[in-house]
Amino acid sequence: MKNILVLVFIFTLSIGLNAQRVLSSQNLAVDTIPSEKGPNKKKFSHFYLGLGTFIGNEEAGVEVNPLLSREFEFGYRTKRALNRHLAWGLDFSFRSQTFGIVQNSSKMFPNNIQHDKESLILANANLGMYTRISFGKVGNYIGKFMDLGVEGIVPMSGKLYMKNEMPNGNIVKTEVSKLTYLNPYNYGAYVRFGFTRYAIWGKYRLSDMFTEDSGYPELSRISAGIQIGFH
Amino acid sequence: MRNLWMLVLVFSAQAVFGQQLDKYWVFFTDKDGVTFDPYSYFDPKAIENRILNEIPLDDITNYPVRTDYVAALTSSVEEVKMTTRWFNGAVCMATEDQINQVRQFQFVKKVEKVFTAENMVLAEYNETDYKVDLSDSYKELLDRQTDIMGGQLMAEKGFNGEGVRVAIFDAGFPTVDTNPCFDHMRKNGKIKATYDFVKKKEFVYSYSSHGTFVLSNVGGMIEGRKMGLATEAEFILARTEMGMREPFAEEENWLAAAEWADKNGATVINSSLGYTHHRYFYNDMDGTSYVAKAANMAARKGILVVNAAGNEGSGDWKFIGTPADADSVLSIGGIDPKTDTKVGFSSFGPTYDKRMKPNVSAYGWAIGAGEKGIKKSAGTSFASPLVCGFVACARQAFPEMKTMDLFHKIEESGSLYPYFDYGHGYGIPQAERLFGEENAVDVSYEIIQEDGVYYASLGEDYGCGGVIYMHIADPNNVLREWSVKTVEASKIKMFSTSAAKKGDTVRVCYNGKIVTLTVK
Repeated sequence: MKNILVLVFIFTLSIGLNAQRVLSSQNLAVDTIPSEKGPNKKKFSHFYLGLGTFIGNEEAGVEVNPLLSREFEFGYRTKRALNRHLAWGLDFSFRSQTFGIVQNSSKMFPNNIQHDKESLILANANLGMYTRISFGKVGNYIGKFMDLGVEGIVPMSGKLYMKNEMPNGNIVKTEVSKLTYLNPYNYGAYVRFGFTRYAIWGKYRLSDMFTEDSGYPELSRISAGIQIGFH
Repeated sequence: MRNLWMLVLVFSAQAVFGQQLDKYWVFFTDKDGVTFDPYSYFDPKAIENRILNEIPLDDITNYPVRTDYVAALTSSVEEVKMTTRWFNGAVCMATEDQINQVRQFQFVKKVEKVFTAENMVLAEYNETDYKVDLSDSYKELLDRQTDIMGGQLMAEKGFNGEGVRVAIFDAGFPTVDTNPCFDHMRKNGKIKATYDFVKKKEFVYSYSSHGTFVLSNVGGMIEGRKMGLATEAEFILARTEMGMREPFAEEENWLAAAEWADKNGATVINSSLGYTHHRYFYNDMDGTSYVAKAANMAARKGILVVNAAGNEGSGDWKFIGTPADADSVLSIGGIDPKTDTKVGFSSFGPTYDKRMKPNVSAYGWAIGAGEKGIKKSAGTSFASPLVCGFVACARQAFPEMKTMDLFHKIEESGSLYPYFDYGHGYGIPQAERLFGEENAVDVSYEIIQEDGVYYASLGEDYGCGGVIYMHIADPNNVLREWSVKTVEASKIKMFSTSAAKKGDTVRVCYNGKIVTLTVK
């Protein structure tokens, strides 16, 4: 016990001799090295949220109503700057797409039966690769940019949703899943115009949504909307 | 419908990237044929200041720009925003086609695009409380914020900024025309001129109250207590910034205000603002931005420019902004009243080209005048006017001294001088040192080397407590490393000996005494 007390005394004394608290310090060799991470530095990444709809119709037999359609996307974007004006990056995202199908006499997808409401609802995983051109001089700040990219799209689930009101007033909602006529993957191209965290985007699906065997007319290939980046 | 959406997309892209109006600097080749009468242009105080600093009254940079050049420019672009005598040019709004046409004019020497930034950092403005009455803690800080600079001695000697004209550049001055903190200024007609460079009008008593607070820290008074040292100085107030969060605040307002301040006889400018990451990278912080050039030009005109270092010390940016990077600007760091050492948020130096900044420091927490009451706020925005008040008093005390000599005298009055680091500069300006009346230092200690470590061995003087400053400087006096530590023992660990190279200098500053060791 006596030895322990001596040790404690020596330890306390040694702390007392050198006790000090750093209030402020700077090591120039370390502290002046510019960080590589930042909105307009070598590496940058952030989450983003997108909202849009589908535009126009590709073929007769299926007409999409943009007001009943929507696309919601949540993703993570990386950017690697090549210089102050040029960068490339990847977009990883999950996307929910709803095609609001117009019910009219020319409708052929998935059949010619008209419902009160009918939608094709898809959930996709996407991987995009883009090139970014930045405009104007800015510091560590995104500023104005244009992105041109291509993407691969993997449908994770798809269902056809129909809603009808029966003569007795009952509402009947029907969902059809495991849609075998969907292609197992898709690909497309996109463009984004942005300023800081805000962007408008347009996408064009280059591949066909449905298998060739299905014989269905092609759904709208173009979508457009807005995005907000979280940074 | 599809076409409609495509049109929306195309028009949106056009809106972002299309043929839009941009802002440009247009510099002219000459001022041939222009006449200039300095006695009708300048305020008598500006003439006096030029004579003092041996600056020629007929310096070509004071001549107005040629009106025919401005007229030609006006007819070719959308709008001419301002002209600058100092840089012989103009700022205009123009499309790309228009500016290409302007480039062809023979009288155009150079055209440069003005890039706008989202934020003009005016440093933080944290209103932590709202009180009209002074609590004891407010009274204590209010007294200390000037006492720490030797405010009592300054008052005893009768220096209060009288006869010195100070220009304040800020984002607005609401209630300065009614606030009791400025009663003495209004009563004695000390506010000599005002101009809003954003709205192009004289009224400035609105918008952000940041400027109100800043002005109070230069020369405000409440209940007989000084909020800043220069209570009898004269003021000219310029609104150069749109506000704390407004986009597209512009550097040219600063330049226009500086020319206006020069014309109106200001000999000191306080500017609690700085551009950082929105427009620049750290490697731009070498005194070459337009606002830094304008600040240096103001110094060449005999005006001592005092500028806040910035509040990025604990952020990603870390370093001073511009124009605090300009070599002739007295850049002010922030001090924590709790420790009397650098407050965490105060931006670090040096400049990118390794010049020491900040130059000196003052309290980064201060009591000042808010729009509706007395407030306590944080930011180097308020350290800057506290030093500005000190500078105005020094200007009064040494009326024959040239401006840059006064600049160096303020540095030499720093509590740490000639020791320095990139957080405190030369420390807090001291009236005692300014007047050569500081008490002799009675401490003895040495730097020792043991087991690969430099120690400050304080011996019996460690009982003094307080803090100890230490740095390693290379042969060019550029610091490799510096630190400030509390003194709680007789032997203070400094740096590893491997941190210093042959020819370097290890310095320690404790209780006003500096000990040096040259590494062999």
